[in-house]
Amino acid sequence: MTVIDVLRSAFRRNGLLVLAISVAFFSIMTVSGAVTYLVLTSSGLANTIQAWLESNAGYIAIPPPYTGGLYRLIFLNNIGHFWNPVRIWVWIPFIGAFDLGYELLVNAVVIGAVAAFVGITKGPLYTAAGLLPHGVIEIPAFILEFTSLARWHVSTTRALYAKLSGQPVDRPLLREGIKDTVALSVVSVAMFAVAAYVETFVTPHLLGR
Amino acid sequence: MAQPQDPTLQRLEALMRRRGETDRRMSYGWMIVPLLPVVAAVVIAGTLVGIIASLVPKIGTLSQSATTPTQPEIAPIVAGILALYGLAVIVFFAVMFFGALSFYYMIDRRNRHFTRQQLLFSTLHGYLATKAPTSAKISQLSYLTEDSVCEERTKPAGVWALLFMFVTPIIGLIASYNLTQDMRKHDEFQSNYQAALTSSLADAGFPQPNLPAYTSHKRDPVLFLILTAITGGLFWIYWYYTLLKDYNDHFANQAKFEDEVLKVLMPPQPERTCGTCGGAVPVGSKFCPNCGRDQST
Repeated sequence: MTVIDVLRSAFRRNGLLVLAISVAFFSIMTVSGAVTYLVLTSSGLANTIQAWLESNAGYIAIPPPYTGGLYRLIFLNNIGHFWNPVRIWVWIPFIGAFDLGYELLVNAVVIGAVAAFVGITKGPLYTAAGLLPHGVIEIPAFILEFTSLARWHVSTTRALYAKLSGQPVDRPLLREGIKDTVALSVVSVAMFAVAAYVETFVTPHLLGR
Repeated sequence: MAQPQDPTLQRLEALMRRRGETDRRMSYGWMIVPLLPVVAAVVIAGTLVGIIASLVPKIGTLSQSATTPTQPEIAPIVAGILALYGLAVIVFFAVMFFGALSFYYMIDRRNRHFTRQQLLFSTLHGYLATKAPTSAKISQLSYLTEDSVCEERTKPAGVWALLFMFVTPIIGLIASYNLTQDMRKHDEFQSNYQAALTSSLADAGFPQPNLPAYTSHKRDPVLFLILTAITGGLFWIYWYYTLLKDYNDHFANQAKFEDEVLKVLMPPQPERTCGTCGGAVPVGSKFCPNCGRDQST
């Protein structure tokens, strides 16, 4: 079986997971963007927030664009579930799924709100140039990462439940689940690497920085 | 339909007729239970952010002028926050009440359906056993029915509904898990029973029934549970929909299945002709099944 075959079968088996996570993510993001737009345009708060952000820009310690430091920051932050001890506990069977749900909510709400805010203050073209080039890679990578974690939770929870209730563990099914988890994780990490490169070296150029 | 003479057949027909009371089809209007909290959360969060946002310029003005906020300035904001709090409380109690009621109905219809089906299949086995006592296939029907009695036990619907009122999200997930798992197992049981029944009817000398093709949903409750957690609860909307749909579909299929089985078991009824439409009317029927005209005259 080639790598392509492994990936193809992993995607085929996890279609429902990909679909459910994508629908949840994009619907929350859309609602968040719409609510933020309505609130900011009706209250005139966008300018106040922008002024506050500009006055406090010096306190935000983000490495400058076109540097390896920024690339490492973005990439390592995005793949934090695989190495960061603070975030790695999302792999704890079943329990970790609830933290993932919280993270999905927060990420979708923040991305929707940021897109709406930048759209109001800088215009739709600037927003598209700032978010789309890396977003079209990063968001699918994010969804694949969540799918791989969801597959991990389904497989391990099923096996643990079988163990706890004295039933035999379906080992081939467990192995298949772990194989899917690894395959989807590898693809998501590779996509995060590309997305971080685009965000560091391409997006600033498009934004004229 | 004319009354069959055989008391076991009469019993079978009576059990099948009882499905109107036991196999309750639930309306999709119950989707309000998972949708209401989502809609309410968006409205409340959006309005709350709006209220806080509207405060920012006022605070700036007040601090510059160094005056005490007047009642007309504060009153609409306080009223808005109180209204939101009231809305949140109302939605919370509405979700608890309707959720508990819906889970009561879901578990109750599951219980009633399983009990009626166990009685029906037990009677059916008894009837077929009198026709072909030595048939191995008919014995298999008995084993399947016994398995169903052991595994598909009644669950206390009222207790689950009460628990839902107090521990809403957790009990909601556990009840959904159990209902999905029960239907999955019941699907397997029904499929096996249908296959065994077809052979049993042949052994007992009855013609083959035209049974509807059985479709099993095979939904994985563990997958649904994880997806609900990982999508921040949004997947529960779909899960809840499947709970309504799967049981409704199952009851509809079961009704067709029972009608077909009864058609095969019933002795052929002598018929007469309707004086109004000319259609066939079973002897003893008060009304024509085609045009509905009274046949007593």
